[in-house]
Formats: sequence, C-alpha cells, structure tokens
Amino acid sequence: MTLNPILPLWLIVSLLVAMTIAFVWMEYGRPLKYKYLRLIAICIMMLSVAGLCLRPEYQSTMESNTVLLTEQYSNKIVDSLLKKNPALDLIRSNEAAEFKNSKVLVSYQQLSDPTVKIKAVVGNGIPEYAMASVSAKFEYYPPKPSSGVTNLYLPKDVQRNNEYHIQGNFFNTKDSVKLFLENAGNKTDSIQLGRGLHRFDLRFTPRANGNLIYHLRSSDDHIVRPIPLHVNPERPLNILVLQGYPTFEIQYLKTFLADKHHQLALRYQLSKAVFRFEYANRKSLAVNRINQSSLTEFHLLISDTETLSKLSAPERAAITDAIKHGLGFLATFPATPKSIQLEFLPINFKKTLHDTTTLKIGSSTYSLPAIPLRPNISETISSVTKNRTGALSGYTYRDKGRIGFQLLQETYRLVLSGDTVNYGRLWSSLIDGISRTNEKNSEILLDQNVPIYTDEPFNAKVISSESKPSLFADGISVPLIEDEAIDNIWHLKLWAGRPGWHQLSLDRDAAQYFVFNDGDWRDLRAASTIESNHVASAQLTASKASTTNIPYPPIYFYVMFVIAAGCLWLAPKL
Amino acid sequence: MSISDVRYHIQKVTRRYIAMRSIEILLSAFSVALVLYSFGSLLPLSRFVLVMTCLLAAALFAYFRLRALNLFNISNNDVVRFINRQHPELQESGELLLRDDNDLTTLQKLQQLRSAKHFETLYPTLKLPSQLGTTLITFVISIGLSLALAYVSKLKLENPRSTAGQTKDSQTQENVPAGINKVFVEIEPPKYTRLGAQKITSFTLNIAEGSSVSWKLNFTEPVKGANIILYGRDTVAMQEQGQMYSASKRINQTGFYQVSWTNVDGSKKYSDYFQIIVIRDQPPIVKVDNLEQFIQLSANDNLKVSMMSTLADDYGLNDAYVIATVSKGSGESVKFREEKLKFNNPLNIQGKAIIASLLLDLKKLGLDPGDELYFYVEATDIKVPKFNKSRTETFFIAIKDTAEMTTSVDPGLGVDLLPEYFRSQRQIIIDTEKLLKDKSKIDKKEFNSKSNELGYDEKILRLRYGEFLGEEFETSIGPHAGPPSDADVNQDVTKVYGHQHDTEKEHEAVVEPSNSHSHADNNSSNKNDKGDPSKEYMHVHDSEEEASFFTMSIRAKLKAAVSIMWDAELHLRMFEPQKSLPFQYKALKLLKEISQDSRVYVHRTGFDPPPLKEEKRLTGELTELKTSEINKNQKDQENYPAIRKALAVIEANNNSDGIIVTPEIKSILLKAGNELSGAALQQPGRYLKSLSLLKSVSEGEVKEAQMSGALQSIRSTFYSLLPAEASSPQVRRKSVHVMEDQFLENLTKNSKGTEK
Repeated sequence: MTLNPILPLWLIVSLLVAMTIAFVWMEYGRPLKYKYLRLIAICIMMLSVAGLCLRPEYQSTMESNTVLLTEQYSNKIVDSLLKKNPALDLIRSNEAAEFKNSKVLVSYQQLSDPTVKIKAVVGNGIPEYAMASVSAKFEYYPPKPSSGVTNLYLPKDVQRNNEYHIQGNFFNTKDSVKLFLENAGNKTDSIQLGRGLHRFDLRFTPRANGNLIYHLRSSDDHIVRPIPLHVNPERPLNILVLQGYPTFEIQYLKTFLADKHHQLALRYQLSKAVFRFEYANRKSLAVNRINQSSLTEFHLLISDTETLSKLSAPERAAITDAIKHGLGFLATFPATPKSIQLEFLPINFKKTLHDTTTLKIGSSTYSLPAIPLRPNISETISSVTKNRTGALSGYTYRDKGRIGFQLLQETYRLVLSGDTVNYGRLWSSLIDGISRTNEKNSEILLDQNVPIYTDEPFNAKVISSESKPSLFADGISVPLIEDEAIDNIWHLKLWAGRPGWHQLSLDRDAAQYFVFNDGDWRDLRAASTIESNHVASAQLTASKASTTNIPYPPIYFYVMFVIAAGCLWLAPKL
Repeated sequence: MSISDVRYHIQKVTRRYIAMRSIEILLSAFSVALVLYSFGSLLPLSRFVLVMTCLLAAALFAYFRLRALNLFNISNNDVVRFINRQHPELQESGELLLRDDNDLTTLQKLQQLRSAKHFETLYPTLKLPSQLGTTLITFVISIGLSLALAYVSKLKLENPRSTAGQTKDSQTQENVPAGINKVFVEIEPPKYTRLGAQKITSFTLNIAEGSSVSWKLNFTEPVKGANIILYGRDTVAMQEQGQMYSASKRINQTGFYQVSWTNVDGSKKYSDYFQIIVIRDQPPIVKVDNLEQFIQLSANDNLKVSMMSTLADDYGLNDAYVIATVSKGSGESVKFREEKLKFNNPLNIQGKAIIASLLLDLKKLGLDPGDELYFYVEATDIKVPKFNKSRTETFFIAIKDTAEMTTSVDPGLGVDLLPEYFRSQRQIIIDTEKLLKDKSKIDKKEFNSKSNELGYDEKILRLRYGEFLGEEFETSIGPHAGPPSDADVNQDVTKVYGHQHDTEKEHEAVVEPSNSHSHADNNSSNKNDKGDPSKEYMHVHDSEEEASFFTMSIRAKLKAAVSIMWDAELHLRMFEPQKSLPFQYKALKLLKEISQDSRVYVHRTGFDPPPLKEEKRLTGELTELKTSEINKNQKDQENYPAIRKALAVIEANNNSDGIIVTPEIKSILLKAGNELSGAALQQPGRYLKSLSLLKSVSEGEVKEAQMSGALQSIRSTFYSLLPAEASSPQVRRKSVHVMEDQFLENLTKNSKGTEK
C-alpha cells in the first residue's frame, strides 16, 4: 500500500496524532456513559480523517486487453477474438469501418500512452511512421490479400532517351489482368499477368527532361496509379580519342557523340611529331605529350591497341596511372590486331573462329564483323553486349577506373542504315559503364519506392563531408541529425506538404520527391503497412505484466467518519 | 318522346356536332404541323425554331377553321334550322320544339307536338354535316408523307457527301467562334469533276482537289480588317464588302486554316483552327484481267491473243492505250520496236469505268519464233491542268524458238562466256547426223576418227558447262584432250569414260587447297571440323554443291544435261553415233530450257582512281605535313525545343488545378503552337484538336472545369510528337564516403598482397 497525502505526511500525521490525543483526553474526562465505545469512536473517526487526507492506494497488476481495428479488418476475426475474451476493449483507427462498442483512435500518438495496452491489431495495421509509438509485442491479424501492387521499384538517375524498367510485384485475385504503363494517355508498355503473385517489368524511354508523371493502369479495376519520375538534364562527357589514323568507325562515333553535345578531343598521328587534332564542343587542347595532368579533365580515353603500343613508356605509364585514379579507358581494335595483351588491358582473350557475329540490339538483329577474340570465361568482366559466342563489349575494374573493350567492328553500318537509335544503344551503354564517375561532396538518399502522403512523416538520409551541412526543403531549412555510429551520415525526418513535386536541396545536390494524393497507391501502401506490422509483431518483445496503484475509494473513509461521529453523538443519549 | 326529351336530344346533337368538328379541326391541324415539320427537317433549321413554326401554323389553321365553321357560336337553334332544311317533314317548325310552352299558341302547340313526333322518327337517321372520313384519310396520308421525309432526311444525314466536293453542313455541331457572326463558304470544285458548286455555313472544308473556296464573314462587332491564315503560314487578306468580309483561294492541299481579325481597339483576335480535307483526284485504275504476266507460245499455237482490261477513274477517263514493244533478235543484235496500240472496243475511251478489249495479232506485230512482245496498258484521266497517268505492270509474250541453239548459256549475259572454238550441242547433232548419213561413203577408220572428234567436241562442251557447276576437279580443256591412243582402245572404255556415280567421291577427294582463314558463318563446316584441329588453319572453299551462278532448279537441269552429255560422249567415243544421238537431243532440249530460264547478269564497272603524281610517289617526303586542327562546335539542334519547354510548363502544373497564363507562359505556348502547326499540316486530323486547345489555353479561353482535360490532351499530343532518339552516355555522379575509399584501398592492397 502506498500513500498519496494531500499535504506533507509529517504535518498530517503530527496534526492527527495531536488531535487524537486531545480528543481522547477530553472525552476521557467527560462523565458520560460508554466511555470506551466513545474512545474507540474517536479513534475510528480520526483514522477515517487520516484516510481522507493520506489517500492510501493499493497495487494492482494490469493486463493488455485492447484490440486495435485498422482499415480492411475482418469482422470474423474480431468476433472470434471477442468470443474468446468478451472483456476486450475495441478501438479503431479513423480509416477503419465502424464496429459496435468500439472507440475511435483520434491519433496514433495515443498508442504511446502506457494505459493503452494493445493486445492485437486487426486489418492493414499500424502505419509505419506510427510504429514507434508501440513498444510491446502484439498479435497481428492481416486482412485477406486483395488485388494490387505489393512492391514497386523505380529507376534512379533517369536520363532522357535511355531505356529504363519499372519493376514490382502484383497480386492478382482474378484469372487474368493486364497492366499498362502510360505516359499522358499514350501506352508505353503492357504485361499480362495470371492469378496469384507475379513480378512485372515494364519498359519506358523518357523523351523529355524534367518532372514527368507516368501512370500504371490495371485492366481489372482501371485504377490509375501515378508514377512520378524526375528526368535529369544531360551531363556531357569529356572524351579523348587517340588514333594513328582516322577510321570510319571513330569518325562516325565522333559525329554521334558530338551531336549529343559531348566534348571531344581527337588526336591522329600523321608522323612521329606531327599530329592532326579535331575538337568538338570544346576549346583546343594540343595533347602532344600525354601525361597524367593532361588526362585529369577527361572522363574517357578511347584508343586502339595498335596506337597505344606505339606510345612511349612514360605516356603509357601516365595512362595506367590515370586509369587507377578513375579515368575510363575504352580499347578498340584494328581490323587485324597484332598484339592484344596490353599492360592496361588486364583481360585475357581467346581466339575464336567467328570473324562476323550476329547480335540482337533492341528488337532488331544485326550481323556485324567482330574481332575473332572473346574474353576468357574466367575473366571477371561486366559484359555490355554479348551473344552466344561470348562478350563482344564490356569492361573490368582497375582500382578506381574501368577498362572496357569493343570487339565489334563497322558498327557505323547501323547509322548508314538509318538506325541511330540502336547505334546509340550499342555505344552509350558501353561508354556509360566505363567513363569516370564525378565525385560529389554530398548526396541526398531518398526512398521513392514507398509513397509519401500529405501530413505523414518520411525519412531521408544525407551523405555529406561538410561539418554542418544545411538542407533545404522547398527553400526552408531543415534540421539534420548526425548518425551516432558513422561519420558524414545525417538523418532527417520530414512531414510532407501538399500533393505534387517538392525539392530537397543540399549544397549543389538536389533531390525531387513527389507527395501523392490520399487515394493514390492504396494497394502499395496497404502491402507496405502489412509487411511492417508483420515484422513489428514478430520483433517486439512481450511487455512484463505491469502494476498500477489504485486509490481506496474515499467514500469508505467518509462513511466510517460519519458512523464514528454518530456514535460519539448518540452514546451519551442512550 | 316528350318535348323535354326532344330538347335533350337536340342538345345532344349539337354537342355531337361540335365534338365531331373539333376532332376534324384537330386532326387537320396536326396533319399540317406534321407535314410542315417533315419538310422543315430537310432544311438547315434549328429544332426549336422548326417546332415553334409548326405549332404556330397548326394553331393558325385551327383558328381559321373554327372561325369558318363558326363553332364558337353554334347553338341548338342553328342545329334545328339545319334539321328543318334537311327534313321538310318538320315543315320548318323545328324551332317550336325549343320554345317555351307558355309562349306558344294552341296552334303552335299542336304543331310542336307534330314536330316532336316527326323528330322522334327522324332522330335515329339524323346525319350532321361532317368531313371526318376525309380528315382521317388526310391524317394518315400526312403521317405516311412525314415518315417518307424522315427517311430521306436520315439518308441525307448518313451520307452527307454523295459525291466528292459536297461538304457536310455541320453548323448545328460547330461552335461559331466568338466575334464571327455568320459565315458563308462557297466551294466551286474544278470544272472537269462535274461537281456542282456548294454553299455551306460551316468552317470545316471537305473539298475536291483544286476547288476554289470563297469565304464571306460577318462579325458581331465592327472590325478593322480580317485575314484567312492558311496552313499557319499563307495569309489571304479579306476584302470588305459592306458588313461582310470576303476572300477566295484555290485549295490543293489538306491542312487547316484560321481567321484573324483586328478589333476596333487594335487588338488582334484569332479564331479556332478549322480543318481542310482535300480529296485527291486518284490516278486511274488499270488492270489486265485475262492474261498471265508471262506467256510462252509455240510457233504452232494461235498467235492471236485477246486482252481484256478494266479501266476506272474517280472523275473520268481521258484516254487509254497499249504500249507494245517487240524484241527481235538476240545478243548484241537485239532490236526493239515500240508501238502504241488503241483498244478495239471501245474505240473512244471515256467514262468512269469501262472494260476495254484488244486483239493482239502477234504475226501482224511482226513476231517470229524467238521474238518477244512486252506490253503494258496505260490510261490517263481528265484532270487539268496535268492529268493523272497510271499503267499496268509489263506483260510478256514470247514465241518459243526450238530451231536455234545459241552458244551462250544466257542470252542476257553482257559478256559471252563461251570461247569461239566451241561447237554447240546443235552443231554436234548436225555433224553426227551428217556422219551417219555419210557412213556408207567413207571407210571405217575415217568414220571412227570423225566419231571420236565429235566425242571430243562433246567433252569440251560438257567441261565448259561443268565449270558452271563448280566442277573444278576436271582437268583443263585444251592440253589433255586428244584422240585416244591405241593403248586406250584396249581398255574398258565404259569404265574410263562412263558416267559412274560411285566414282564421284574419288574426284572430290582430290580437292584440298589450303589457306589460313575460315568463315564465321560457315557453321555447318565448323561442326564437322570439331574433331580435326588442323582444319582451323585451312582455307576451306565453299562447298561446290552451293557454288553456282544459278538457282537450284537450273542447277539440277544443268547437272542432268552434263550427265547426259557424258553418255553422248561415251557413245561417240565408242564409234556409235546413232546411239549417241538420242542423248544429244536430250541434252540439247535441257540446255535450251536452261537458256530460257537463266537471268540477266549485269557486270560491275570498276573504280577509276585519280591519276598519281609520279614524281612524288614513294619519296617519303613529309615536309608539307604540319600539325593541324579542326574545331567544330555542335549547335543546339534539339527538335521541337518550344514543345519541350511547353511540356515542362504543363508538367509543372499537372498536379495543380490549371495554368495561370502569364505573358511568359503565353509566349512559350504560342511557340509550341507554331511547332505543332507544322506537324498538323502533315496530319491535321491528328493534331488540329490539340492545336485549337493550345490556342484556347494560351488565350485563357478554357473554363476551369475543362482545363485539366485540355492540358491532358495537349500533353498526350506533345509526347506522341516527340520522336525516339538515340540514347547518349552521361557523366555518372556519386558521393563517395570516406569508408568506401578506405574499403577500396584495403581491397587493392589485399589483392596485391595475394598476387605476391
């Protein structure tokens, strides 16, 4: 038992003791009947006053018996829970349907109240952002799976005219469903799915820069799900080409890259000390001697093995060093290569019989000449173009840099046949893979695969080498919390504003995020919530049986006081 | 019947008359309205106006008919008067029946009673004047008429253009742009089309090619000047004629146009975009119905070929004829003669669709065996200033020539591949026949010698043809050929010269030239070579089975011919020319067929390099070589730049309620509109709606409720317009964490350590 005195304990006790002694002494002296009864009555009276002033409490153990009903809960499950334990308290979230005798949970914040002990959660579950309010293990009863997207993976760093994939999982309750990817009503791709959970992969090629919204539409319910995509502006490369003499292949590649606004410097060696330079989209830069400083500004070096073998030893060393520090190097081959083993081409090739090869680019099939060499299977290379004979182009890593090779010859035939799109595919993916990566000081990492809604918090991460990075959300400064374990990692929590595009900016980096309308992506949201509730219900530990102090009802003390006082008044009169 | 009963019945008669007449009038009025409505629906009137007019007409008709019949004032007395006139037995005293009894004298009362009696007898037969029957018939006729007219009107709606050039009157569906009060468009199709001029009151034009279009516009407010902007570029100024503005232009191209006018306050206003659909004058359709494209006749066949041709044109044919080319001779002496032949029936080609016929008399055309006739039918239409012309494919008629055997394997070859000293199969046959004829005149030795010589000729011919089959294993033609020695005579000649299939492989086994390259595509050979590593370094020629100038069917024939020539040669060598002859004929027939089947082969012409400066050649002089540089900056050549900008603006406002058109945005949208109009010129049906919407959005004319739909439609059009382009590599950007650097460093160190 514990006391909860209304005044300091010592004061109450001393006053009551003094008063009791005084009353007993006075009563004892009175020449009236039932002396001992009156003295007992005085004691009882003073005890009841003490009870009123000291407010004693007793300890009681509490058990969780609240069931939280959330969106899509099953009546059957709730009924069976109530049948098992009729004393259960029912509370329901705002989105959940009504259930008799259930109270409404105004905010998920209420779950953090220690008196609310969640025994079970029925339905989609507690939203991910509110999961922190729940500290104890609970039983989770998810709803029956319904038709819709359960996972979504959006491409990152989207560029114009490149092909990307939107992937995800779709749970289908019908025999067949067709998913369409649309851009402003124009169908981009579609896929037919059968009953059950299926993975989908839809392709698209953005044709404009900026913030675009694609739509995913399912044929069964015609729900249109917006897919926001930010298409980054072009970032041109700085490329150096070293050649002994001009070839059609390099001339066409030069024209293609120059048309795409890349900066190019080409050097042809006419004689030992006489060069011919060609530049595109850049200032002149006479690279007579190759050294490490002259290579630092380039993202990529393209050269054929024959030209490289004719370079002086210091020049070759400079190239090797530059590759180690991040320069991309693409090796092409003359039609009849004399030597293929170069110090900076750490790939072993094997001879093959095939001097022409057939390969599929996009939906077209081409037959092109190729150097009769293929990298050994044991080589750890990332192949970019390959067919059944082996890798035709690809790259490998050397420290920070990458070294690639192109075995295909006369690829300009594609341009001559008017197929610049597939020519672009052939070269862009290879050059993309090889060229130097620009390092940036800071980056915002944002998970766009889970939809963000108005007035709901979402988390983001920042990598920054600055001591105090300042982040702005739509121009308003946002505080960052530094990671307690890892340096240069910062965390932030933001509450999304009105639906539409928003921007986070940090130093010279910026990230776009899209806030959805409440009705968008309900299926994906439900799937994500169900998953997090499954995890939480499995991971959280069961709370120990908690105790609480319950005060004795004061009415008892008051009644005792009245009876005792009554005895005191009545006894002399008997 | 008491007097009161009589009165009651008179009253009943009066009411019946009024009711009958009223029904009559109603039916007539309804008939009038129905007929009027049916006729009116054929005219370009709005439904409301038409209905109101019909109702008014019916009401007027009813009113005047009521007045004429005086139905408003008709009373029992009028009815009784009528009965008096119709029935003299009442003795003109019917009125007494209606008068009060107290006012009547005794005599009158008596007469009243008599009249009442008469009335009782005549009442059941009483007939009131009525035209109900006629009215009903009229009503039924009017219903029939209106149904017929409604059917005609429906047909007219379904086929708004019965002929090209007539334009659908879509005034009821099209909104006349604000500011333009009335429009009258007069379309005059070219005269040769024989289409009538059209007057329409809508902007959308659906016209025949070359039609002259005149616009007359009336504006709601006075304007300073007006123009018609055709295809977004050609401006035609409109002439002011009182309150009307007019302009005319000959239209030859599908596209769009809009009207622009300057308001009194100087502000310029543009109308919506309107579509121009030009129906092209199609070239004539010409077909030859009854002939195959390749016909081969023998000299004995009927050399008169009847040809039927179907000719059709959308507006009419002007002329049609057959261009026939006779090819005579062969090789370099081939001669051509071209003739233009008129059809036999009909002689004069006119009309929209006709079937014409012509009898081709090949003999009259001068065709002999071996000659060929090429012909095609050509037709022109009546289009002016330049007619349309079309023709059929070329048809071939050849007369077989079995009498001549050319030395060339292919009459189409530019170069005669056979040397002079060859004797053709035909010559060998003639010589063989001659030899057989002279057998009795000459001695055996000479006979055998000549037979052997013929066998030699046969061999050379066979070897020559064998070359075309890739039979390289045979020895050359000249040096080893010769008459057999005595020793040879003793051998088994059938074994030596006979065509024995089993020995073929022996010849093939000899062929083993080598080289160091192989062909990637020769997969079949690669498969076979798996077991033999030396094959990799060999030069493997193409299989002789596949190496040939000819297609498979010709090869098979040639092979058969060569095989038969073996036998022919064998018998000649065995001094049995009579046995050889059937083989020779067989070979000749096959060779002739091959000659007919072979295709024309065109020799390539060589490249003439520019002349070299001999004095500089191979001197190794490099003094004139200097370091040079070329700098080329690529200009921004992005396609549809304004559309891309406009798209960014629309995308930015995609999620909001609409666009607030600032002057800057307006300028972007207008520029995008210019680019879109370029595309709309090619496909007006596809882009014109979006062009109009874009104009409305930029002018701020779109209502808030429709804004979202308008932007969606414009977005869709913009995206569909942007072409697929080649992807471009990009600079990758990545933030590198210190730990990643350290990880990479350690990884490199470790891997180097492991290598050591």
